[in-house]
Amino acid sequence: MTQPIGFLKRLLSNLGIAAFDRAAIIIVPAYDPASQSSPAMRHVVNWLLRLRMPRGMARHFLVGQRVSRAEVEGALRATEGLKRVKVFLGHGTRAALLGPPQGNADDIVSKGVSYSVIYNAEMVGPNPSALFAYSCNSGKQLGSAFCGPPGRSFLGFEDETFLLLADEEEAECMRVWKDILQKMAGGIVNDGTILPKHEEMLRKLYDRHLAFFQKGKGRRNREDALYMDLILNSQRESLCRYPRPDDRRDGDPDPHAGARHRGAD
Amino acid sequence: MSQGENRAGEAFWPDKESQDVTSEPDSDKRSQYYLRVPLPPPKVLVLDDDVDVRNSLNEDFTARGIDPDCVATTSEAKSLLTPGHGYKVIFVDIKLGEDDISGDSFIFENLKLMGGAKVAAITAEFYFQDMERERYARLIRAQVDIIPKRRGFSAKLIQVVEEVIEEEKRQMLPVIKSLMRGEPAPALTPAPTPPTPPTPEQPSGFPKGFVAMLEQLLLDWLKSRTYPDKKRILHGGKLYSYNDIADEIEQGTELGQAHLKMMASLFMRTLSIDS
Repeated sequence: MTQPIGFLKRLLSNLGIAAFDRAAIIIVPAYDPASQSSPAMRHVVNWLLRLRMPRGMARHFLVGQRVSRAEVEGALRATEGLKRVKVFLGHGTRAALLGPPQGNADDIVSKGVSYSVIYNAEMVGPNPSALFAYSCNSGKQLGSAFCGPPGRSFLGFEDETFLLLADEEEAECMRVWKDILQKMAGGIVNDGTILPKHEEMLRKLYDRHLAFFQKGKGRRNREDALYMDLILNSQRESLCRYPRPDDRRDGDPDPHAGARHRGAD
Repeated sequence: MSQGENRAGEAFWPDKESQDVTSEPDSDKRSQYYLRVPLPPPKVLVLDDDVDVRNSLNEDFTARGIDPDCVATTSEAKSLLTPGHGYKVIFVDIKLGEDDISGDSFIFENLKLMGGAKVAAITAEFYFQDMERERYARLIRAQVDIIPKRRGFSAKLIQVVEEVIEEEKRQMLPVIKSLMRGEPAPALTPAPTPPTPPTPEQPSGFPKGFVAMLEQLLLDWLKSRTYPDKKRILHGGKLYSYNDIADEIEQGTELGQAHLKMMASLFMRTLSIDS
């Protein structure tokens, strides 16, 4: 009985009607009780939890203070053989994505604060995979290491990143992050890989929101406009994508491809 | 308030009405946002006993975003030449009131107090016929410009100020670039320096005080928000307030340096300087 079902799933996936051959792993750690309970952070988490995903796609949501390297490894094992898209929103260093401290010898200290390493180059495998890392610095080293094997792609930042939040979801600053996170994460999850068009789309989003705070109605927001300008421009300038055009090899994502799946959930 | 004016110490934005924010920006252009930053306007000192001249220059300078202090006597001018006075240019009328010393004497007696400011003499003595040759020559040797009070001379004075600012921007560039590269910034918030004899290579303020200026601008902005203690800035998984960020800047931490780097980037965009 499972053979016809498996055949049907493969057929539907190949036709682009469903995505049984793919998986999405959304990782949003909380590093302390204060940030976990903050209304602003709850909005951010919900935006990612509510992403529209193709029908049939395996989904793993790793959220909050329980996120650990073991959890991430478990999600990777559970999605072995599937084409994965990982979306991470949290703290990073040049070589790793970080989670809340585990209180053991494996914890590291970054800028005087303890963290655990939940993903680094040691965990990079041969699976085709995409990683959208909305975190500090991971583009400096982890990004290129992640794309070592063919068929992998990365979008992240090479500098410190900041998000200006508000408890009200309708605040101007929150609408910016919601727009960026949902469009980017949603687009990458639906396409199943990171393409040049995603980087271009993100740069256009930054341009649009910068224009809002510099020349549009957002400039009247005396409380936040300057700071939003600083951090949006900083993210735009430090944005980086791998593989770079010169690095493409056989098996790497075709920059002209874009698998769209109908019938998203 | 018309475009081009600014209040000292306050951020302001171009007066032009907003574009439709839902429209796509021109994707062919590299994004360049000519954002006005909360820069203090350049300060100039004008010493002239003629009230009409002072009023006219005050109006013309202010309209061009220059912050003038116009005084009538040398004693008033001297009282303003305190250490770290911050004047970019000092204009001195040669012929002052009957009870006052001459403008060129005032210049030579107070060169040290003037610090690195550019000094220019202004005179109504057309064609310098009445000026004693030696006084004229002495000013020339001291690299003091002499600007006759002909029709439209305020435009010439404004041009002098703008040339000084442009030169300072050019000298700022290496400092901005080092900040953009994340290299250690020069010492922050330097103490006011005692007056030194003017040298052509060392204008007052920039670039020595550039990082301190960036820091002060950002600190003033952060601390003057309506809710500076509200924890809203997410970084490294931790929430910071505007006041927390200000503390980080004052302590010179990595986080503070990151913010100064962002401010430097804002300057680059505002001055349209290619990095």
